[in-house]
Amino acid sequence: MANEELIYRITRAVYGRLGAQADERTVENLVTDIYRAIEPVVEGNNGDAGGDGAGRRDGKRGLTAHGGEAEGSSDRLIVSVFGVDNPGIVAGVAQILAESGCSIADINQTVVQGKFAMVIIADSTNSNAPVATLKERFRAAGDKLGVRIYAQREDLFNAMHRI
Amino acid sequence: MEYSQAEILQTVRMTEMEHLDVRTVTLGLSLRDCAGDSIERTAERVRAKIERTAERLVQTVDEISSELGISVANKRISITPAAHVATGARSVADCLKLARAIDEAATHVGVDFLGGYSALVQKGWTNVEDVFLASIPEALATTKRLCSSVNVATTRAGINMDAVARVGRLIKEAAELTRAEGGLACAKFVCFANAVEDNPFMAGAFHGVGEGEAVINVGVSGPGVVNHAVRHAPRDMPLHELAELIKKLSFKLARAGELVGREAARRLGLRFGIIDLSLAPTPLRGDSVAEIIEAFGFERAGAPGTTAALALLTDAVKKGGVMASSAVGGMSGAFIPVSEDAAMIDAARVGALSLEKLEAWTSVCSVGLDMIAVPGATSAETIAAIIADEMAIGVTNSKTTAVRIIPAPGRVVGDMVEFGGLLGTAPVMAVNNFNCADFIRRGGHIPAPIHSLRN
Repeated sequence: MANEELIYRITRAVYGRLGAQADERTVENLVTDIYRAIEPVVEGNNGDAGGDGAGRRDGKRGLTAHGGEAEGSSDRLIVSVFGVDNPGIVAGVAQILAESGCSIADINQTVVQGKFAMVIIADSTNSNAPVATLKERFRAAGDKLGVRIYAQREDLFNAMHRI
Repeated sequence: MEYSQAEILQTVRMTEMEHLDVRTVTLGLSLRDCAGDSIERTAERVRAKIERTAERLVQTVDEISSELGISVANKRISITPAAHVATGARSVADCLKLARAIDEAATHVGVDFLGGYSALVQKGWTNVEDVFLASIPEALATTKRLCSSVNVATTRAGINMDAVARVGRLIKEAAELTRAEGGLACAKFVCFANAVEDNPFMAGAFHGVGEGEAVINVGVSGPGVVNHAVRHAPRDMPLHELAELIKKLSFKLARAGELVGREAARRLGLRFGIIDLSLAPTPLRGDSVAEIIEAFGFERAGAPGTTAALALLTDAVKKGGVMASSAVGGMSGAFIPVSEDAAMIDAARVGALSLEKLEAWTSVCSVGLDMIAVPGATSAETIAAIIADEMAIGVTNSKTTAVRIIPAPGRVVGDMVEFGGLLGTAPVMAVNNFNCADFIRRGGHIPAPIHSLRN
């Protein structure tokens, strides 16, 4: 029987150290490893650690529900680009993604009556830049290329458009 | 591609152009374990607990906002009604020590408002609550982020008319204490019937005694999104089709809000509480509930028929949201705060929207007479009587109603009172000044209503 309170505390400590950029799966693996390492010690003095009910509940969720869900990924970004067509827009956006360590999972681009529209689904699992940095690069590139570039996590689209 | 271009475009348009935002991420925090014999010790424990629990709230929510590309307008805290915590308070000065400690903690963690300087007195008040109620005007006048509420009525208990009369007086006092700012303290105070325990919106948020240790509650918004859709629908679209359209949008708004809330709760290691579906306007043009109503086919908000339109709107928002999430709570309706809604201000200024029509609206939408400025000469009894009417609507219809009214000192009908920021600018509205003082002076209690023979 896992000590949920402890798992919750470890999870919180790991998030506290790694900050928002913490990858869910990495955190989960870390917490599992740490817990396994100290489990024998914990089992030895198996008292109720106390604490609040809210914490326990979330601690449990941390190890079970997360990570395995197929409902949109927090590791994937939807990059949408709109504006007046010009040469070099696709290259400019792709270059930023490449430099940041994001790979392109899907791409769709059209030009209708001189209006450029592109949507890229990018996988940021191995990204070396926080989303804020990526967005700043997109903003600067967008100014230069004369287009608006938006980057939003994929799970938002899944939440809004899939029942 | 997994999503059609139209779907992606819709989301981008909503978040970037139509002001789809999460209006507030509110951390609900129990302070019941902070109550002590001495108010000094209680205040210190309260300060420490708020600062400890909410330390990463603002930063975490900002990060999520950036990743999802959804702006989160406000980060807030709601606490256990402070009157429950102020057990050691013997005087107004004691209560003010607690108020200031709470306000300083709110400033320290960077939230814009903290709600819960509150008391629930629908049946009566204790000795501590007696002192606590007396402290509310000064507490609001001398703090920046503190919000206060008093529940004076419930469907089960009826209306405590002694409390209603007292709230009328304390609103006048709060207005006088902040005379130079147009009575600003009153904008941070709300009087409730059937107050909800998990409301994330200010000024009425508090963390109910039935709640857990700490939760993340989310208030979604999106009048801009609904407004855009209704305006672009054909002028002859039948109303049931409009309702369907609004339902679908509300589903999407609720889903986006829940995602933000659950993510925030996960990262903060807290439980996710509820999502409040209320359409809440901001002073920005287009981000207005009154404009949605007008788009139904009215020259101005307040015209005959607008109560029906608002009923449809509120119901459709709820139905879409309930389909989207199993954690719907709070107020969940449509807010009609006059000073915070540009089209409502216009409607009031041209005489289309009166206090009486607003009162009628509140019978079909959440929440009540909200952010209404009235002439400074309005008596405490008249304010209490306006509150009594509103409480009666809530109690009889088993819904939450509220009054946030500002008797702006020295101002007369037609003046504008500037409160700044989200609180907006309120046009001073006319009040029916026929005397009601004898009714209020009777005091006592209006018994709880019967629940059969409903007509």
